[in-house]
Amino acid sequence: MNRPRILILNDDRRLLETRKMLLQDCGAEVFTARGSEESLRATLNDPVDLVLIDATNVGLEHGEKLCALVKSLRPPECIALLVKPEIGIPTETIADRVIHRTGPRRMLVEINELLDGRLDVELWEKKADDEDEDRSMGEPT
Amino acid sequence: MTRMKIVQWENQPERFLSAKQVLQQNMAAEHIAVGSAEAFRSSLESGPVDLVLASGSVLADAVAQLSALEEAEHRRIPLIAFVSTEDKSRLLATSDPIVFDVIDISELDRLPFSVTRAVALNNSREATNSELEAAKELLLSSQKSVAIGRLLVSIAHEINNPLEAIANLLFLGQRNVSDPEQVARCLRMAEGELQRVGDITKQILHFHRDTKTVQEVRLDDVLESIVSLYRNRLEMRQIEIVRQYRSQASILAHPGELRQAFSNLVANAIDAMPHGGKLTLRLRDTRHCKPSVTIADQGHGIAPEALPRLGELLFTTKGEGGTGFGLWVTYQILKKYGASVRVHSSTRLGRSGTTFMLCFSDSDSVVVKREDESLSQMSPRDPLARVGRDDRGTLEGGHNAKTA
Repeated sequence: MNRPRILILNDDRRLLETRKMLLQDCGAEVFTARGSEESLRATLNDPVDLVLIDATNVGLEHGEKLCALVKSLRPPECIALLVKPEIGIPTETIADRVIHRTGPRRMLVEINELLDGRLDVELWEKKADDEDEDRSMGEPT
Repeated sequence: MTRMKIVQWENQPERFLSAKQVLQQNMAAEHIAVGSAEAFRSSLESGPVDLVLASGSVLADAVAQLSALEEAEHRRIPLIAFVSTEDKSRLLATSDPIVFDVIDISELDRLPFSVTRAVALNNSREATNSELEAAKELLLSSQKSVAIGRLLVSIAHEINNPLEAIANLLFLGQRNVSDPEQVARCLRMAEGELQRVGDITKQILHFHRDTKTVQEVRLDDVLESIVSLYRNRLEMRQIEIVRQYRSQASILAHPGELRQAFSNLVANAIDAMPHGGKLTLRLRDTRHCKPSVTIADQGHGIAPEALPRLGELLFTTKGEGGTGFGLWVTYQILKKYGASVRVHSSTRLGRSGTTFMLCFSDSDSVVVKREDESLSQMSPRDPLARVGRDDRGTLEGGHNAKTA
């Protein structure tokens, strides 16, 4: 299976780095860019499978602008927009999926769905299954 | 029904008796006569007085005493001039707001109605003033809530990123538990992020720690504490700080208030530069400003029509993202310290930006002066605030500050 190519946009260098490590660990080829239109234009030379835009850092309005820019430059590319968990999912958004920023597990599951299961999340899924099993064993019968 | 208390300063006993008779026939009132300035003062001090009647010869003294009382205690007692027919036309020309009515002896029948109306209107005015005071208190309390809200938002905003980075690293460590090197790397990085959380909370708490006493505050220290607070946000937006500290001035102030005033300006500058730029912080002594503080950004600028409204309560240029409190609070604090504000802004593409110049000075001859009538009309909320537009039809002349 081809490695999925993901572009992450975020203004926080250290958060960007850990997200990159995480997605690389799940088998993705990861590119990063700051959350500005200029840096996005510069990184869209090569096609990617998914653009992950963190609206919690760049702001929802600007995040939507970046989504529109991606769609105008590369219409087929899939966009996931990360938003604060305390806000509702915006009903009118250009993004293909809006993900509440609640941690790595949720983000990976949703991104994996968007990529039709191309991420290698087996280890995590196995661990999650084991945890479910442990919990069910502990429940009173 | 409570009895109205009326004090009549009168030198002619027959006029007092006439007034007393007509008032007693029409209302429940305690009616006291006084004949001297001392007696009048004592009567005002002895308890609440609803209305004063004064004859023409003592009217000026009575008005003076009531005005002093109003200034000292923010309590107005209405006065009706009860005068001779000859005095009436002369007194009608005077227009002191304390004098509710001028009645001459031939209009005695009108006195009860005028007294009732004066007292009712004054009570209504007092009630309105109380409501205004209550509203002011509420506003100040809201201002505190807004400040606390901003603190919470700023903490949440600043620590969410390192917290998620830690979550990512711990998750990554779990996934790679069989690779000790990778686990160790993740833990090292997570420790660094935890340190970052600690630093941020320390900075924020230090920043918002307020002292109750006025003290000598170095303005460069205040500016540096703000830079430190916003370091992460500045770094994220790739904003370059240009420091031009050419004065080591300090002023007597509450440090927390100055931090709040300046940090609102810096936060606005950061908001105006989502894609980076230069933020200039300048501190210097000029002939009229000792010191002068300049905070200049290269952001999108402020629309000309919005400039005159800066500092107005609840006015914001940030749409739903703004509260309309920040700049208002800044202006109120600066006003308290006698500082004047000049604003220059340009929205011209490639040269856009906004500059706030704050002038702290004990020399009010130049700084406090309004530059022209149109300016003062544009900014009626704060006569000290002056507004200018850079590059296009500048509204004030004679200054050389430019946007950075």
